[in-house]
Amino acid sequence: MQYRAKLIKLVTFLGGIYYFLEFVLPASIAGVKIDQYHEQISNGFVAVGAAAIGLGLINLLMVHGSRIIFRRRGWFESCALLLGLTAMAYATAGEWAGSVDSSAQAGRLMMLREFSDRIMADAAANKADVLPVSKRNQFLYDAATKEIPELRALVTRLSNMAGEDVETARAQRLSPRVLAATDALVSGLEDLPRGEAAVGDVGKNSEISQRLADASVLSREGETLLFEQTRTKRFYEFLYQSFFISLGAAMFSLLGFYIAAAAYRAFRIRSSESALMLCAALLVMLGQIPFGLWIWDGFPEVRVWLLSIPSSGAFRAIKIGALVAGLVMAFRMWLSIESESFAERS
Amino acid sequence: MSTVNYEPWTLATILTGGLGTLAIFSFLVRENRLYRIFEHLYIGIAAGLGLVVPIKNYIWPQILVPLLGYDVVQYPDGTFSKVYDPTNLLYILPLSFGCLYYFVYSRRYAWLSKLVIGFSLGMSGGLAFKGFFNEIIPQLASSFKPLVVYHDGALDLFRSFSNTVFVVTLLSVMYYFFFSFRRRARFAEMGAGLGRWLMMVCFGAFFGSTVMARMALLVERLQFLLNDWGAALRYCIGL
Repeated sequence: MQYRAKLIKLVTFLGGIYYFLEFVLPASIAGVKIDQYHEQISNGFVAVGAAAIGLGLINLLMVHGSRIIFRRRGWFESCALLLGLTAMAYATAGEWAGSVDSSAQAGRLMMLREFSDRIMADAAANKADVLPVSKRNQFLYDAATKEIPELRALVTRLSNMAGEDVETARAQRLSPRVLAATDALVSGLEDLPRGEAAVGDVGKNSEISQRLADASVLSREGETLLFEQTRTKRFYEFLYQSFFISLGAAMFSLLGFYIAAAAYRAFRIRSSESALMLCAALLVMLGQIPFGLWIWDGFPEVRVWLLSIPSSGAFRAIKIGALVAGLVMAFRMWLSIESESFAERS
Repeated sequence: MSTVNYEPWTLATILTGGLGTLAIFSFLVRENRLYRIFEHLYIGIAAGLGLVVPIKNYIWPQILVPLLGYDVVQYPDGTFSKVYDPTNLLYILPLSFGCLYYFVYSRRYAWLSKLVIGFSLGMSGGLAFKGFFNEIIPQLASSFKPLVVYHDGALDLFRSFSNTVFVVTLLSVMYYFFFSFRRRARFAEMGAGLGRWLMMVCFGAFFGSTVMARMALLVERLQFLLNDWGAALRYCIGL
């Protein structure tokens, strides 16, 4: 069993060594760039943690699922929790899939723009292992032409949006812009030298790139606007606004009541320290409300001074102390020299 | 009769939000079932959001897209936007290693989960080292402000006073937490006492700020109940 503890200690050490070395070593040694894979390595480290995402879900299902199955105390509340979890996970996944779907055409148009830029870059570099410019432009023309009916359909869908809300007004404004961008793209494509008989001229490609980019941006804007009207997005917004935002704000504002009760206990003047604390809190509060301004217009400045000079100084001192302690603790954990290292527990 | 026309989804959002707010506030009377149901709903919804959002914002675009080669686009002429980087396959290693977390449910192989927990602890240790120096050194340097400030050739009394207060606060509070030796001298005791007093000013100021932040949230909720929810309710009952 001893080898397991040693292995765990070794892996713990290896987990920290990269960031330690990354900090203490220069970016390149003897011409070898050490930090060239930093992003991939960092992503890899986070991927290790990301794999644990299911643990929370499994634990919630185990705790609340068993409470529901065996009808233990609070089973109804557990039902509410699992219902909320399922509904929100479903709505968020649906919203994600929908937003990916709605930006698909914009992505294709952007890809064609990149293709047009690539044709120009390859022509400038005289690249030999690619098709001639005229043939590649023909491919660009064919692919871009296929997008035109969808862009025109978007114009129709935006024009057909009915209602008196802000979104409809936006759609009505956007529709002619999409139409103009589509027409500009069509006329640009017609001028594009292409096919067997054409000369390998890339002069028009930069224009096409710009028009494809414009069409892509407008397509994304239009599709996003239309997606916001769908049931999937509305259901997500309903859950997010009415539960997540409203209940979160209510929970935190509830603390306002308790903090008032706590203030009564904390601010009863029993010592000079509590009197000082009361004065500082009162000055800060008076500096933030119109009533304070009505009494004396210098309160806001006193508040700012209190928060930025003595409070900031004291807080920084506490933070420095906490960070030093945190560093020592981190070292002890990294080197597995904590008094009771978890590697040694059975 | 209300002149506002509500869309069904908007109306449902406002009504449910108001009902939820009242259910949470009902805790002020006493703990009750309605409060607990909405509390659990809130936790469930937050967990549901927390489950999908990291996948959507991080795991999918940063790890799975490069690993599966979805960032390589095929152009209409058959060429590719870039060559697939086979080093992306190495992402399988951390993902597989991370899966060891799930051995925590096995009595026999639970020690395997300790490998990945240890790895994460070691990683946070290394990051803490890097974070400490990146964060603390600039803060330390900026903390020691000039005690005498001149502005346009004249002594700036206010800034000099403020900087002196800042430096004295910083040093005295740090000294208050310095327990490596016993403070015998009267001067040393006074320094620690001053640190304690200045800390009280800091706590008071932060307490005041926190109270105001909570009150702002409370006022927002009350405004929502009185204006938005009240109007939606009146619309529903046809007033």
